Amino acid sequence: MSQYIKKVKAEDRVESSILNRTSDLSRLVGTWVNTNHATRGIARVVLTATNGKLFISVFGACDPAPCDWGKVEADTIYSDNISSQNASAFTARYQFDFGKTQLQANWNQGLLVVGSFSTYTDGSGRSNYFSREFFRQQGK
Amino acid sequence: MQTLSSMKTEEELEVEGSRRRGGTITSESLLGTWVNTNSATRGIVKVVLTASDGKVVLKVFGSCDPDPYDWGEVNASIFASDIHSNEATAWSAFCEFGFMDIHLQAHIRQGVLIIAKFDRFKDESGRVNYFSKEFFYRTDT
Repeated sequence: MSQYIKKVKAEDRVESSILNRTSDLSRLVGTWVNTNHATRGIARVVLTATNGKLFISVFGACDPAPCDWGKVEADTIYSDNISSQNASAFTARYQFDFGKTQLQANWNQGLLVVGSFSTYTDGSGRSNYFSREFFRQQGK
Repeated sequence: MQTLSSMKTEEELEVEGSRRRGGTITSESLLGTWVNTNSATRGIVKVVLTASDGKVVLKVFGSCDPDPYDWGEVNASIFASDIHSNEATAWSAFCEFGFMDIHLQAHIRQGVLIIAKFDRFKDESGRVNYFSKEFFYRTDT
């Protein structure tokens, strides 16, 4: 039986039996390598879980070695639908001295799809831009 | 070539090169009314993007019975396809409803607007945060 709860679209309505579930992060955790070896964007993403929290380490494609962006905690973890316990997406933010990058990633058919929204604040004349890349899980 | 701060190769901008510099992004390619390709959607029915005072304004209509639910207006941030481009191909926006908030992040691919939707519930209703993606076509071109 469904209960009355606030919503802004039909899909926000759920059956009470599936409420208060915790997310399973296992599908996301691991090392994800860009499917494009020649990427000029993100080379690798490492996802780890600690106490139910998801942490992200990004390595950008740089020469001669990848640029380590550091480790940040996911802003929010998302399931693949309102009835699911499987964590399948996250958002995270990186702040640099020259700008910022918002990451939105989702798991899809064994791939991690990462969208990057890069914004520049250094007056360099670079356009803010969006890119989308695909990653396979290393060792699987 | 001048060296700029970057965290990946594609962020390196050629100042003395043949490619045009980036900077100001035009929004025309994003503007208009975009309707869900799935007429039976339970998510977003349509979005309307307009330009106003140099900003891009987003209106979203959620699937509700008997009529779509008007989420109101929010400003959208626009993004090009790379640091050299001046044409917007993506946008992001944040919709706050008190009991929940929704991050919308969208890009155009082959004429289709793909909207990734990140729903986060804050009302202790027990609903899980979730991700979904929907596809939209432009009606007024």
